[in-house]
Amino acid sequence: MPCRFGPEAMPPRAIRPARKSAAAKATGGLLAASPAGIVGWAWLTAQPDRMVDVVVRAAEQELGRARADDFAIGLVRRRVGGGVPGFVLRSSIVPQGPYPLALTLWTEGGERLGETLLVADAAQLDARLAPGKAAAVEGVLDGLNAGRMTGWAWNSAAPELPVGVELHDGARCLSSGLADQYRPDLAKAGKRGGACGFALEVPVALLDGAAHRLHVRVAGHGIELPNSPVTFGPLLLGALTDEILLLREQVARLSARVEQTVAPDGTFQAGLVRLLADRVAALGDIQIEMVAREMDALRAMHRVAASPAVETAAAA
Amino acid sequence: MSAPDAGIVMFSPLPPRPNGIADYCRELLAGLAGHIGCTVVVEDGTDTAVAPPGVAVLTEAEYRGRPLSHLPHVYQVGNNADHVYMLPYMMQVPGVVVLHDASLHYLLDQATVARGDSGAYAAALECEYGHAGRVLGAQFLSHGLRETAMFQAMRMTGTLLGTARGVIVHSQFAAAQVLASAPGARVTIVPHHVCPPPEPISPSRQRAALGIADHEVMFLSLGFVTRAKQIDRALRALKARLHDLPPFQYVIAGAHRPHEFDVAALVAELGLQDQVKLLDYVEESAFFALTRAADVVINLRHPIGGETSGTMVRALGSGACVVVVDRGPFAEIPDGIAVKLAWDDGFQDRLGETLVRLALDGASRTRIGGAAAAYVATAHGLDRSVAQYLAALDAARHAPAPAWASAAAWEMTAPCAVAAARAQARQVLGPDCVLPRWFLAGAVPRSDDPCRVAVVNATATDRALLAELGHGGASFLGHADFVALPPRTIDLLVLFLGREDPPLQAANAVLAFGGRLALAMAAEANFAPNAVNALLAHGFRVDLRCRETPPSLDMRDEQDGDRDGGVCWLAVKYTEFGVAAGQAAPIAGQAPGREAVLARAA
Repeated sequence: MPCRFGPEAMPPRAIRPARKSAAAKATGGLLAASPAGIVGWAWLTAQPDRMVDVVVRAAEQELGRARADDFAIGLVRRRVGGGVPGFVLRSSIVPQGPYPLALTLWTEGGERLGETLLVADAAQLDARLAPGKAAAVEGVLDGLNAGRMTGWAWNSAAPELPVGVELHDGARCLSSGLADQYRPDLAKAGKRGGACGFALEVPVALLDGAAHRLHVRVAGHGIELPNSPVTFGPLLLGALTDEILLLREQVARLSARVEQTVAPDGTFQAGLVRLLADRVAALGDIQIEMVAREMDALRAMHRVAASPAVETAAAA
Repeated sequence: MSAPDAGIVMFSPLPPRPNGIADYCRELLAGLAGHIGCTVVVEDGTDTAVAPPGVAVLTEAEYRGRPLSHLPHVYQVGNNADHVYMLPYMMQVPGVVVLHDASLHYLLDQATVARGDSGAYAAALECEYGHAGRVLGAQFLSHGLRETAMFQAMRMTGTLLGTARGVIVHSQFAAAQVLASAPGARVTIVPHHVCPPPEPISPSRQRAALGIADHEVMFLSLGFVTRAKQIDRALRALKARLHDLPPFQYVIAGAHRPHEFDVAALVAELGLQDQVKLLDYVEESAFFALTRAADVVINLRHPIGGETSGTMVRALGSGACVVVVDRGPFAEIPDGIAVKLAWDDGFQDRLGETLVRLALDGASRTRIGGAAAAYVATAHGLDRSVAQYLAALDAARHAPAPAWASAAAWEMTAPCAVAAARAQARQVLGPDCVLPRWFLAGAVPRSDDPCRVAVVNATATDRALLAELGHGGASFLGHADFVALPPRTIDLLVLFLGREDPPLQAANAVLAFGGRLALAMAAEANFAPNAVNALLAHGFRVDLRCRETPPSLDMRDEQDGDRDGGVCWLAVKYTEFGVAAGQAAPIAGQAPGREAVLARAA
């Protein structure tokens, strides 16, 4: 999720410490989560000059505390506390999951603020999975199995964390998930106890007769796994051949049409002759076949005087 | 009048519609009504329909509102727009088709092109005449090319006759043509009956009404004035022998078609205005009065399509001396009953001589006319016609409707459905089973409806997989058994082949029209290079060819296809034309055996 106002946009600023007030009502919320920190805001609307101390939790686990005293231009635009009640929580804790993970914001007094913020995978919070460190990701795309795109991925820089993976058809993201499924072969190889396999859903809608190039990438980084992309659909070469044949057929048809027209000098072109020749041949074939059939019928009628197929007046 | 619960339903125009078949039908119904309940269905919008007493007349709308489809149906079919309305019913409720014209091309034209549906016309050409029909249909659609000769040479009767429970024609000649178009048809020959009107006008009164003196010889031609009636030949013969002939008058009575043949212009050109009287369409009573008043009836026709000449039979029945061309159904008239002229280079001179001879020899005219009247009274009597109709209807009632088109509702397997079927098949056959390519490709359609499926040379795996597609009740056959299946009795034929060429000819024979052929081949072998042409030449349109493993959401499926290595085709039968039984299958070439057909004709 993009950071709408990161730490660069919110320089530290000295503001008077908050004073407790039983009547003060806090508002706030979480805005984004990235390896650079968890971003949010908190504000006492009745006492806007007081700063709020907040706690960010993942389920029951506390990820850290922060004072909402950073300036953020986005908050100014939203007319929240003159733009100053922002915060960025830089936590050293990366929750174990399960992902997607719900982050919640609380005041130190235990008051819940705003909605939950969903975090798709650990890579969204872990600075060790930042783009500059993605080379540490290992993995392989195995291919399509029983309607799922399967493979494995593991980050040796953060060996205990699952890696997020995404399936793309061109620029379109079809599905995403964590590489956290157990596979015995990966356990033997010592990759996160074997819990780094993935199986991404492939929508049936892809069986539309068109060719698709399916990419599997590490979530948030665009790093493709080995064997990616996978070409899926009719064989490209066959499709190309068919297309060429179709084009040639159309060109031939158009050429024939052109040839069948009368030339500027009034003479007929060869195409017309061919057309008429085809016509004569067709009419001839029909007449020959029908004469042959009639001969067969007449022979049969003469061969059997009282043919079972023909009840003549005389027979009646 | 309410329709009876038992009896027959007859589709036909009725008088006063100016149509010879309407008159024929009214006469016939007068005889049939004494033996069986008759309901006649006429075209919607018909204001007046004259039927004999005891015969119920319904419009199409009234017919559709009544449960009459269980009764035997009779369709009186002629080659004109008056019969277009009955075409859908002929396909829905197969019955006995009474074919009055050898070619129904103009009828089909009126049902399609005249109503703005040229595509249906082209499709019908393709169905009737296969590859050649497709060429002509495409040229009609793209360039509007269509010769008048096509209306005669391409009869377009195969489907209508092939679906009928029985066919009634009026001559041996027409019967042969029916069997040529629909070899399996049950044909009955019922000679065209004649019912003279109860109170005909006396010949002398009729001649007086026309201004023809008793001493003048009266020549007569009746019916539509078309080029095929060869009236121009008769006029030229009379002109050429004008000085040899006694005083005469030539009466030409019938609806004129000046865009086709301008008889008035020719009469003027030949200077025969004083000897020729042109009348328009005449009522039935006037028709008989004219034939009785005439000395010689000139009833020529060439080219001969095989159509019934009610005019000729009525003229013979009236005791007229009739001159005909000695070809087709006219050649079936016994000698001495009419004057039959060979159609060759000497026809024109021979026609002139004959007309002179007959004009001068009243005794011959009387003798020939008397023999004709006696012959028609016995061979073309209404009672005989009625008896033969009843026998034909009884036979048709007990005959099963001929197998023709497939009515199976197929579900063509979509890729996602194939994926689901694969998963299901793995559950049934085990995760390590090798799924064949025909199954992976969805080459065999799924159907939960009852349909007729034949499978040839299937393995146990094939059987299990076919059961997954809803074909568990299929007939599993060997090659010899499949070839012996009755024609057009299979909706889906699945052939499992090794490297041999597919038996396309036999496949065409056993499949119904619109039926599907699924070819699962271990390898294409010799079939590949001209496969599409071979399928087209055998009356199939290619729907699918799969030699690559189709995309799947499971890599194991692709491995299956690779290990299987097979090829599968799916084709639809659309025609039988040019795929003659017993003819060697020209797998390698695209021509449907023109040489073979020529050899057969020889």
